Amino acid sequence: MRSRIFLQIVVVIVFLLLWNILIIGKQYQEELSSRKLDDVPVLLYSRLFDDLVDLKQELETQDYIDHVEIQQDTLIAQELIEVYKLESAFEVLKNYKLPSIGQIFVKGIKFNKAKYQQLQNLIFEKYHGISINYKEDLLNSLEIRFKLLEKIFFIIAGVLIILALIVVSFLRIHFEHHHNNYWQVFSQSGGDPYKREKIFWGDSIYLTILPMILVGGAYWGLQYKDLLPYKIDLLYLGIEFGILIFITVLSRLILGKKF
Amino acid sequence: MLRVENFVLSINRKTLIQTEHLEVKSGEKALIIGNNCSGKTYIARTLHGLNTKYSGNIMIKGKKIVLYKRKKKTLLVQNFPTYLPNETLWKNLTLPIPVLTTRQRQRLYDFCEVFNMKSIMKQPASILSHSQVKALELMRAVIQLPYLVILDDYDSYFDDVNRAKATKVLDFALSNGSAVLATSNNRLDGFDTIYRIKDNNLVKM
Repeated sequence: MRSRIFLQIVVVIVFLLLWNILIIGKQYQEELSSRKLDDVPVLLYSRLFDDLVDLKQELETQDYIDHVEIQQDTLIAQELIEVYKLESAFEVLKNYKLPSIGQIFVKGIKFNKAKYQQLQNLIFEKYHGISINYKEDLLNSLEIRFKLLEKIFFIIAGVLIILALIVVSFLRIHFEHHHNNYWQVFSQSGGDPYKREKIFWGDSIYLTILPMILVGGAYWGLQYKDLLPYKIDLLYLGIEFGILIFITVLSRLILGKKF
Repeated sequence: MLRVENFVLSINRKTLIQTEHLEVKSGEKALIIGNNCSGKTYIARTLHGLNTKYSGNIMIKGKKIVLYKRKKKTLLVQNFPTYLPNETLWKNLTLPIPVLTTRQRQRLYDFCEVFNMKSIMKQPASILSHSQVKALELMRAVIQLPYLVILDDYDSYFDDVNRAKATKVLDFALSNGSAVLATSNNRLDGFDTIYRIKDNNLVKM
């Protein structure tokens, strides 16, 4: 009888692992896509160098900013002359005042459309002389990709949950039916009529708590050893536990008065 | 131990058995005899608490039988086998006992000795004959010392020799305060009280 419980525990663990791999897989995909933003800076132009310096100071406290680089107008002019060999035009360029340039390098995993909007608002409200330029298409395509990823995640998660409900409940009911004759003889021969019920709920504790402890323990162990860079929301672990409890209750209801 | 008063057992509004009074005292053996289809099994099952559609009172140790229904204070040995063929005889004997005491273990050895089954205690119960299965069930019921041991169709699974052996086992229960009620087609020796089902009436002989 114990070996059958062991088999059920293994099946539950497999489902929990698949579910958690799915959660981590989604995070991995999101991160992979977000990393593209790391290499694409937000460009700033301003004739007022001091504004750019002030903005840099203000932005460096934001969690989605990696770093800000500013290039002064004189340096830009010098660079242009060197790169394009414009020594003869030096006098002409000297008479023109070029804008200073700022480059905001963002942390892709923390940057999104809302943060970009926040950045735009800050510049428009406080730094009127700064112009901003960014590949917004990239943000839009990322947003579409995230929405798609989320859809795929929920579909696979839903399928997994339904599969777990069917397979684990079926196993539970199958094994209980398999023991019907044993319990009938046990009860008719004078055995404790509540023993089957007690064993059912005792096994349920094993089937819900043990896999959660093993999978949860493995997760926190990997986190502790810094082997897993992704975090699983406690809410997801709570949902997994809730589903296991639901499966137990569902199985008991399907078994009905047979106990 | 067992008191039945103003008892009427009906099926489809037709009276099957009725009796004003039936009593089996602690340490006493009673027999109910009747022809086939006279309702012996039905009354045995009712006294065991498996049927509640009756009128009148069934009291065990002064309390209504419904209070004992789930506590198994009565044990019923029926005509059909109730055992696990793939388990050993010993496992079948000790199946309902939560913690087997040394005294119970010794007593079961003694019972098996009586039925010449000691040498096959570790064998699978599938090798047992029908009367050996009934002996197993009898031993298993007696070792638990219920208030009342009910043996349905007692004459159908034991011949005279085995009945004498069964009497020895039952004596253990009787000497420890249990009562025994058997049903049978024929009149059997060794019972303190005999009741007969005649014309739907259960009467003391």
